[in-house]
Amino acid sequence: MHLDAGTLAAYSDGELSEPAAGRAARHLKSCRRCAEEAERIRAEREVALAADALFRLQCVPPQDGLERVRSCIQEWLRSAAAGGAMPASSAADLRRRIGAQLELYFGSETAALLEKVAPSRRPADDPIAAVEPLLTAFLGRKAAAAAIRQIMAGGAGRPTLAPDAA
Amino acid sequence: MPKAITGDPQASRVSLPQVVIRATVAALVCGGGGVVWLAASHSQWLPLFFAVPGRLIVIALNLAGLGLSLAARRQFSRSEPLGVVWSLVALAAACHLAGGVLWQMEGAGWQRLRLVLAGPVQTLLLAAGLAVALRIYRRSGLQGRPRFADWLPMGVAAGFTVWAIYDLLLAGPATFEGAVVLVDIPLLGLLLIEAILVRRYSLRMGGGLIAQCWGAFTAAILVSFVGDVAVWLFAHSPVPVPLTATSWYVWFLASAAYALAPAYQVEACRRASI
Amino acid sequence: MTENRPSPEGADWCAETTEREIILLYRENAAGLFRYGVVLARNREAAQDAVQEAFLRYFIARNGGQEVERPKAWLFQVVRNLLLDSLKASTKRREVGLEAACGRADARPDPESEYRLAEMSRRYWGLLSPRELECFRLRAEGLRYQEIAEVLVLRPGTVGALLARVQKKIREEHEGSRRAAVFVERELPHAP
Repeated sequence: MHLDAGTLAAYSDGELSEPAAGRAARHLKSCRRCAEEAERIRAEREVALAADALFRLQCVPPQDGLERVRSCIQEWLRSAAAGGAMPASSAADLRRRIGAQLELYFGSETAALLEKVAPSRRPADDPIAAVEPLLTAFLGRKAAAAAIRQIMAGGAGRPTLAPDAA
Repeated sequence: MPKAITGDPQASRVSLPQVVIRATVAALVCGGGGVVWLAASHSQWLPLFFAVPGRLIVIALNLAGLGLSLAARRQFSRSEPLGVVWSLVALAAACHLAGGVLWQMEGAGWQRLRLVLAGPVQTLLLAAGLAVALRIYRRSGLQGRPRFADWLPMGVAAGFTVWAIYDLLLAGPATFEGAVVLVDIPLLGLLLIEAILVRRYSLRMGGGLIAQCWGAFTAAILVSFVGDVAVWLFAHSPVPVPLTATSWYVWFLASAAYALAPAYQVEACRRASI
Repeated sequence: MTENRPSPEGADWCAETTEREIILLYRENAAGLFRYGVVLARNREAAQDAVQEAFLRYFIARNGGQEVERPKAWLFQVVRNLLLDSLKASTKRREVGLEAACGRADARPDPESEYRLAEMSRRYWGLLSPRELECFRLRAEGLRYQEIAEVLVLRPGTVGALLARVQKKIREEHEGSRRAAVFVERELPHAP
C-alpha cells in the first residue's frame, strides 16, 4: 500500500500529525518507490522555490506602504471619534448592522435571500465575508469597503482606495 | 469626496435623487402652468414654448443625466462590471444629448446623424449595459424568476416589436428614416424586456436604493417606448392630436427618469462612504 | 465585549498598542500579502489597496476588542475577499500575465529578469487552475496547511491534494519539453 500524492506532499511540508508522520516515515524506510517519489518531490520543490524567488524579486510593494497604512489609521481614528463610532458589541449586533446596510442598499428581503442562496456553513463563518461580494458588485470596491468599515465599527473613515485605481 | 459630517449624517442631507425629483417636479409645474396659461390666453405662442424653453429644459435634463452617469461611472474602476455598465449608460446619455442638440441643426445630414445616434446607437448601448447588469445579478445568485406581471408586458413588447417590423417591411423601408426605425424597434423591444427583468431581480430583494435605480431605468425605457409607440400611432392617425405636446412630455419624463437612475447609484455609493 | 465606551485615555492607549501590533504585522506580512494580491488581481494598485484595507480592518477589529487567533491567515483572507471578484474576472480574460503586473515602480526595468519571469509565468503558472495557483502562492508565502484551508475555505486534507496536483502538473510540463532541462539548469546554477 503506497502513500498517495497528498500525503507525500504533506509529509514533505512537515504538515502531517505526529502519528501520521511517524507512520509515513516508517513506510518510506521500507518502500523504495515512495522514498524515490519523496526525493523527487523535494527536488521539485527546490525548482519551484527558485522560480518563486524570481517572482519575489520582481514583485515588491511600494516603499511607503507602512506610512500610508498608518495615515489611514489616523484618519479613521479621527472620523470615528467625530462620528461617535462604536464597535459591534456582539455577533447578533454585527448581524443587525449588516441587515441594516443590506436593507438600505438592496431591500428588506436581501438578508433572508442571501441566507437561502449561500447558507453559512459553520457558525464561525465570518458574516461580513458573506455580504462583501454583493456590496462590492453593486457599490464598487471603494464604497463597499467603506460600508464594511461602517458595519465593523460604526464609522467609515476616509476611503483607503484611490478613486482612479484601475 | 464626501466630507465627514458630525451628528446624524443622513438627516441633514438632501439625497441626490430627491434633488432630481424636486427639480423635475418644479420644471413640470412651471412648464405645465406655462402651457395652461399660454393655451388659455396666448395659444399662438405654444409652439414657441415647446420649441425654445421646452427644449432647453429637456437638454438641461439630458446634461444632468450625462453628468450623473459619469459620476456613477467614477464610483467604479474599469475592471468592475458595473463600471462597464455605467460607461455604456454614459455613452448612451451622450448620444441622447447629441440627439437633442442636433435637433436644432439645419440640414438633412445632421438630422440623419441625429436619428441614428438617438435611435439605434443609443438603444444598443443601453441594451448592452443592461445585459451586463443582468449578468451581475445572475452571478450573485439572487435573481429570482419573472412573474406573470412581468411576462405580460414582455409579451406585449415582443408582440408589438414583431408587428411593427412586419408592418414596416410590408410598407417597404423606402426612406432612410424607415430603415433606422426598422433597426431601432427590435432593439427597443429587447431593451424593454431586459429592463423588466432587471427590475424584477432588484425588486425581489426589497426596495433598496439599487432597486430604485433600476426602477427609474425601467420607467425611463417604458416611457420612451410607449411615447415612441404613441407618436408613431398618432402620426398615422386621422385625428388631430397635440403631437408636439405629447412628444415633449414623453421626452421630458424620459430624460428625468434617465437622470434619476444614476442619481440613486451615486447616492448609494455616497451613503456607504459617510 | 460590553457596551461601555472606554475612557479617552484608555482608548488612546488601546489604539497605540494596536498600532504597534499593526507595524509588526506589516513588516512581517505586507510583502507576502502584496504578492498574493498581485496573483489575484493582476494589478499592483488593486493589490496595494487591498493590503492597505486589510491592515485598516485589522486595526478596526482589534481596536474594537475583537480577538484574532491567526492574524496572518486573517489578513490573507481579507485580501482574498477584497480581490475575489478580480480573480473571477481575470481568469476569464487571462490576458494580464503576472510579469506585467509586477515591476518595481522605483527601479529600472530589468529586461532579462522580466523575460525569464514571463516565460515562467507562461509555462508554469499558466497551467494551474486559479485555486491551485492560490494554494501554491499561499504555501510559498509560508502559510501552514491549516491557515491555507482557512483562507481558501477548504479542508486541510484538500490542501495537500491540491499542492500534489500542482506538483504533478509542473512535473508533466518539465518532462514534456527538452528545453525544460536547460531552463532548470539556468535557474539552479548551484544545483546539488
